[in-house]
Amino acid sequence: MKKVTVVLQKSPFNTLRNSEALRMSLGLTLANNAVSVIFTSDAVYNLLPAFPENIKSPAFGRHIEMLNTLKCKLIAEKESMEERDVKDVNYNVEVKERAEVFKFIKESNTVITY
Amino acid sequence: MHQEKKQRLGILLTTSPESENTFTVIKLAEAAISSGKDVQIFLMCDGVYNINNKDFTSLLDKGVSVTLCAHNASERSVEKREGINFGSQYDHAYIVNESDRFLSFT
Repeated sequence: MKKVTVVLQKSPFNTLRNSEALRMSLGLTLANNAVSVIFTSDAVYNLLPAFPENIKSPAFGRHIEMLNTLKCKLIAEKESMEERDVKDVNYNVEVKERAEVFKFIKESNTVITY
Repeated sequence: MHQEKKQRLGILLTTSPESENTFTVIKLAEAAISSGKDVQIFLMCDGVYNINNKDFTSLLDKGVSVTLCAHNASERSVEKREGINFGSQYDHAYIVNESDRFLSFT
């Protein structure tokens, strides 16, 4: 099994990138890939409760929930959350310190940044 | 007779042809092909517009395999083109899984 890590860095609004990256992450599970998603920098805002459909933006929450259901690892970078005062996240994510996130990325077979 | 398996390079391109990523991907793919590697490119998001770029599609004649996300192409009214596989994220999952090296240009 190949360890594939998708790294999200952008905030959820004004872009389709996050919903596309999460859709792609789900798609990656269709082959023999152990898919993990890391939320870092402004991407930690994706983890807060949001209603993107209210501004005709694609809903991404269902992708995160499905990744959870498929037992994909979801990781949020602790420092990024603290810098942005992001608390009470809406999803079941593992919070890791930056050094641990680096180690996790380093141990991956494939890294896709988004 | 035993034939050695070719090394495989996978590339994800999600930006439109205006981005310098297109030039980088073309040159990388050409270099990989000339050194005897298999190259598979997957296009998604605005990357699907690259099939309208002549320099990019010239990679097909050099033996590069190009697949795109048909869902993204349909969203952008990009029409089918000979030689390009209008596939899905399923294809992407297998390209990632079967590549010896995978590079993303997003």
